[in-house]
Amino acid sequence: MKKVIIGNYSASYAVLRSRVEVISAYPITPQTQIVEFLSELCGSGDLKARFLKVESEHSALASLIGASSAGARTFTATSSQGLALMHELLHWTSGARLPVVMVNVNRALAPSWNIWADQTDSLSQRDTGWIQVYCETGQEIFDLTVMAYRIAETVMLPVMIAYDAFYLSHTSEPVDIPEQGEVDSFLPAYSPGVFLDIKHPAALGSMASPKYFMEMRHDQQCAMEKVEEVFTGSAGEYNEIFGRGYGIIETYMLHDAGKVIICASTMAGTVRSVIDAMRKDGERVGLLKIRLFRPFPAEEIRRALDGKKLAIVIDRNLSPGLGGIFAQEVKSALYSAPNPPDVIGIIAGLGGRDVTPELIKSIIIDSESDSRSGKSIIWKGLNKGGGA
Amino acid sequence: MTIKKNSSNSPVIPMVSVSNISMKNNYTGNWGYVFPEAASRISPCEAACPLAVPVSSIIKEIGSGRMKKAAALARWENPLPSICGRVCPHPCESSCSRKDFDEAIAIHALERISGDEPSPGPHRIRKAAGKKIAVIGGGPSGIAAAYYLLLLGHRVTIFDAGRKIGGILRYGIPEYRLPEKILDSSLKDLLALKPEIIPGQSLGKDFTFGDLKKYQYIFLGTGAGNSIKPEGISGDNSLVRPGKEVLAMTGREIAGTFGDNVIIIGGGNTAIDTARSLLRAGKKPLILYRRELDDMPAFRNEVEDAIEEGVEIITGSIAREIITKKGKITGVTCVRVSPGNSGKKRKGILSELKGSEFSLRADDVISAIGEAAGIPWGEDFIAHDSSGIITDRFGRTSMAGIFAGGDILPHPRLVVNALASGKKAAIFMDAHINRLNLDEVFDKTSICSGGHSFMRYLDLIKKPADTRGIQAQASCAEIKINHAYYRRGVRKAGHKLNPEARKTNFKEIKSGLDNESAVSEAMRCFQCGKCTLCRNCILFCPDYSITKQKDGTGIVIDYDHCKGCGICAEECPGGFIRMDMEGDR
Repeated sequence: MKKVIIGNYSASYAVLRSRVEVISAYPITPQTQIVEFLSELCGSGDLKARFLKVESEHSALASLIGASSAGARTFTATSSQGLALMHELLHWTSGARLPVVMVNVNRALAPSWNIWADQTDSLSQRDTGWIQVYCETGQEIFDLTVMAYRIAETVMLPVMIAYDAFYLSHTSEPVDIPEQGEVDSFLPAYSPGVFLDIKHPAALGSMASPKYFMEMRHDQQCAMEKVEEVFTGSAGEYNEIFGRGYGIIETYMLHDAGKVIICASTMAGTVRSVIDAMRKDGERVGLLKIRLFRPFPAEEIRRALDGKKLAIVIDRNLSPGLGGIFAQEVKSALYSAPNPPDVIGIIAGLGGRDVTPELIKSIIIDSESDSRSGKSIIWKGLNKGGGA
Repeated sequence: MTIKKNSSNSPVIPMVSVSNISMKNNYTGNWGYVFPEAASRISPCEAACPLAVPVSSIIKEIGSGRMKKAAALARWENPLPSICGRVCPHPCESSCSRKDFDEAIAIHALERISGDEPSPGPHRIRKAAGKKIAVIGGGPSGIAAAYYLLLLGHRVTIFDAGRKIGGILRYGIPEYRLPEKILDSSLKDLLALKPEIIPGQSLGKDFTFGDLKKYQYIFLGTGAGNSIKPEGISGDNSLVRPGKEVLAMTGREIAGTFGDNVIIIGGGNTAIDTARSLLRAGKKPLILYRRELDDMPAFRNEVEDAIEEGVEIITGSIAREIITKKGKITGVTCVRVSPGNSGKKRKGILSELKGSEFSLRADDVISAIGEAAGIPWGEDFIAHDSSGIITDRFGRTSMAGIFAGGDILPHPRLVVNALASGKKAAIFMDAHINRLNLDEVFDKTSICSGGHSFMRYLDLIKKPADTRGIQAQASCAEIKINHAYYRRGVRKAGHKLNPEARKTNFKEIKSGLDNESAVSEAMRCFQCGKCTLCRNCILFCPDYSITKQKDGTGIVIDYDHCKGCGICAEECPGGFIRMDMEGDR
């Protein structure tokens, strides 16, 4: 059944179809509609879940840690400051190997207060042990959220579904919402291997001395290393049932491209239209969209960029003191490549500033001279007098 | 924790740490610097009660539907709960915490129903073999003194000026506020203790202190029976009659004694009671009060009731002359007065307004401007001043062995204060007889520097009784109520007859609560400072350091593991748990 809905409702529908049992969230723009709609679904009885109203994002995730430990399928959604407030518990969730699924609507971190798109919030949580997936369309939000439960519950790691504030959260698109039976055939009920049981009291996550601790982190890393395979397998099955396939990366016009734009989320759509226009003028440009950010698909990226001349990474985020986070990761992945392209890191669109086709075009046109300049960060679209 | 092995879809078993041994060997309690104190506290209502009635405990019994227990408990600190439930202005309700939330609990109505429930009978503490004690005056203070002295095993003789004991309760409070049959049934417990009662005996008239030599102790509770005569009125002042005369009469007696138009001078409870009694006997009462309506010392609601019934009140005016014709009153000349611009409303000196004289028709004039303590035994025998007998804080007069209480003391003239002073005198008389340290008894029996508790006295003298201990452990610390845990409700306080239905007869105006309403009213009570076993603290404690007491009567805090986070105190609805500094725990 197709519905024209905003990206946030697409996430809510995915939670409904995934038969989530416990939802705990604290409202924050631009995430609010997701949980508002879910609370209505819980209230109407369409979704048989416990909806916990909590006093903060910290408590939202803390309560899901409890619920998930007891074997429930869980969901939360947040954004920006809310995600930052969860930080301690992000580590706990992954370390405790709990398959919590969260939506993070990418929004700039204050100050200054800014509610618009910026990916620094989720990217700066890259080391917390969560699987991270970046979406471009409303349909992708639905499909990847349903898939997220399958992946999370297979490898026993939490998943964060990230998408851009307003460009996606508040923009209406037609989204196919499959029937419940179909989703059930893809996503079985959660059946944990270890769970809290009052008949056999125990404490999970208790003290582990130096003698034991490292092995748990090793096990966690091993689980992360299985994610690409599990993702690909799940995506394949999903494609068979629903006719929509997703790779851990996605490419466009890459086969003969000399220059490759690398980005994630909604910006990719704009890049595609610029590529189409510039290819008419003979410029061989391609796109590499990163969908799975953690674990980072280094091997896939190395393979995709083999023999390319120049990789232009556009980051709607900033790690002050080094630059764009995608750029760092791409550079790091290419270090061991036999034939790597040059990489330039572009910072653009922070705090929801539009990354227009014109800007992308100018980035491509300037890319060779920018590459020669030796600058590690190239700022695009700054107001005059704004530095750089 | 359960691990699923070999299940159909063989889920991944992640490597996580699991503990199934107790964490109790980790004494996290030593990290804290403040700790919760879980202790019963005196509720504001109890602190406000001059009689130290364990209000919250009585209400708890009513709320649980245990009316018999409530009836027993209500009689430990107050020998006359049925009466106080009707006539006491209830300072407890003014201090009720519920007042800041919706409405104060109708404590008077709950006291009334616990008093109207038949008494299980008095519990004698000692056998009747104690000292011979004379109680002079069978009003509320004398009743209380005699009752507690009898419980403590003393032999009591009550001398009373009236035909029957009761004093002001029988001869001063009109039937429509306190039916005589309620008084009679309230006195059953006292009479069951077999005091010797000598009626019709007035001290100074029918007998003297000299006649009381065989009594080792005397309690003096002769009340304030001397009506004050208004000054500055010309004409035949002797025809003015005191209000208390009306109040001692039946309706038929009033009808036959007074003319139709009666002017009552005054603004206190006696004036209002007198006017309303006259009205009920078919007269046309008119109250003449020198200040404004708001300044009247009478209970506010009684004034309102009187106006509703049609009692006329002329304020800001005084009587100047009684007009008589052939030795009979025919009218009163009045004049308007004003406190001027002195700014002092109730105390400002009144001056007559020139040219404001007016005349009222009257067949009778009644003075109800106050009563003075009657001191009929000679000026210098016992120390006193213009406001009454002087006693020390134990109720002792200047004469050894003579204690005093009730309205001959300069305390507020409320039944509850009279009862409290009688009870206090009984406690200290007994303590004196038993050579106890009176200062210690004073400290250990006083409830938050208010009334003295008989139950605490029993604790002190180690005399077992099943309902004791209720207030023994309680402290007077401030109580914080967490309103989030309560629903707003509607106060149930019984009904009042409408003015038309009540103004022609002496039927009791206010009805009590039925059992069901009483239970629901009692359940509104916050139980300030008491543990209601709501289990909130047990649920919220992040350290699992609060458990239910083995006997189920309260909670236990495990200080070895409590880190002092304060959540229990915050979430304790009724302020039973409170954070305290280290060392106080």
